[in-house]
This record gives sequence, C-alpha cells and structure tokens, in this order.
Amino acid sequence: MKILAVVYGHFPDVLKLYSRFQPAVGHLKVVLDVYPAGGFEREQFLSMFEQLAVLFPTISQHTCCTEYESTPLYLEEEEGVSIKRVGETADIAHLVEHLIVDMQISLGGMRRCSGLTCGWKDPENRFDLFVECVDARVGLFAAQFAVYLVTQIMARKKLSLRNELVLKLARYINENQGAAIDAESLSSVLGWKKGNVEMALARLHEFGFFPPDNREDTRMEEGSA
Amino acid sequence: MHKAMVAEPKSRARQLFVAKGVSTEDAERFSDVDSGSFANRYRIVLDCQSEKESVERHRKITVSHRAD
Ligand SMILES: [Zn+2]
Repeated sequence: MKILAVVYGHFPDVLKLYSRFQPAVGHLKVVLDVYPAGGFEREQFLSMFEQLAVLFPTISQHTCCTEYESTPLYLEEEEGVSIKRVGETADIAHLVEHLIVDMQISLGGMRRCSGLTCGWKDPENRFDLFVECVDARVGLFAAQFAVYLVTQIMARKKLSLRNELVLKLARYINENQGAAIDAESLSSVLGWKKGNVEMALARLHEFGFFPPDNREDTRMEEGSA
Repeated sequence: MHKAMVAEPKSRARQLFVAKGVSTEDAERFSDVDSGSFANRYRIVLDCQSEKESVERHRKITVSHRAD
C-alpha cells in the first residue's frame, strides 16, 4: 500500500457525493494505491477490526455506508462491527479512511467528521479518500499512521501496544500547545520511560505530525500555498 | 493548450505530501479541486461518519447505568 499524495482544500464536486459533508469544512484528500489487490475474508476482517478497536475504541460508534445506493456491491454487515465489508480491494482503503476519520475527532478537535472512500475506475486499485479536516498537520499524520497500521495488520503482524503511546503523545501535544516537547520534559510530565517518549516522538516525526521547519502554521488558511 | 483561451485557471488544493516517483503532472492532477467528473471517475463510493456526541452519549449512558 502506498500513499501517492496528500492534499488539503475545498472540493466542491465531492460535496455532491455525500449529503453529510459540511460545506464550510475543508477536506484532506489522500490518493492511495492498494496492493496486493483483494478484499478481506470475513475472519481476517473481524480479527483486524477487533485489533484496531483496541487502539481506536470509538470506531465502534461510526456510521458507515448510509448512502450507498450508488454502490453496486453487496455490503456485508456484521453485528458489533461498524465498518461494512465489500469483499474487495476497497475494504483496505475504506478501513484506512475510517481510522483517519477517527483521528480527526480524537486528535484534531473536531466534533463531527465525515469521509468518503472513492475507488477509481482505472486503475482499480487506486482510491481517493476524502476526509473532513480542520488541521492539516493532524490530517497528514493520521493518513500516514493509518496506512502504517493497516499495512502491519495485513502482514499479519500483531499491533504493538506502543502504537497507543504514539496516539497518546499526539493527543497530549495537541491539548497542551506551547508545552515543552523534549523527551526529558515529556518523560517527567507523562511519567513515561524516556525510551518510550523517544520512540513515540520518532514516530510522530516519521508520520508528519510536526511541520518540516517547526514553524509553519498548519491550521488552514485559504490561499496559503 | 487549445482550451486555454476559454478555460478558467485551475484551482488547486495545497500539497502536503507527494510520494517519490510521482510525476509533477500526476501531482498536479491529484491536487486539482475542480475535476468536474468525480462521479464518473469513481467505480465505488463508500461513506463514513463519526460524531463526538454519540460517543459521549454512549459513555454517559454507561456511566449512569453503573451509578444506578
Ligand atoms: Zn465506512
């Protein structure tokens, strides 16, 4: 799986595809190539959902595919599983999109967030994910972290609990803007081992949580290039 | 370029990330906000939503249930 591009802006046409989109809110657009192609088998999907629900407990409360009349596919519904399964490559992109949506609320300060997974006609394994987003920095991090996690799971690796620390640190930094974020200070404030703080900080850097020059304001302003 | 005489300048979204190996032409296409044919371009569209209220309501119900 590979992210080809992540962009932020207002996409008037995409508003027509989902009535719950809020016109004033900008969208993160993630262009994603998914391989190997193919969806999830039922058992794999369920175990994957279970693992992700530990890291993202609120995904169980998402609503999914309420306006799917335009989708000529049969959607599998499972009791207790909020995300629908279609049994093809779109499942993987769709899962990534749900995680990005979830992080816009848990990290990005949004009260409500909607998203769309749009599969290209050609190539069939390419997807545009549109997710409402108010903080591009959180959006970019969420996209890259979600792809990392789903890739890990697809390789049948158990998700490490260290990923939870990454999310916790991201939340702490967002909720405490201006606080010292060197490993030493964080370690004493959070009561974590310094090694854990360093690991989580490295992940945040790797996935774009911090702007490249540490100065750029990523809260969106129209016209900023 | 034949259409340049009549076409409006294209609006672009802000690029946050472009993978290595993606051509400039593709990168521009990905950040084009007025493709005008979204519905035709896509084969499948799946929608999703999360609301903080529903999450909080769920928590409150759980908590009050325990308190009773
Ligand atoms: Zn969904």
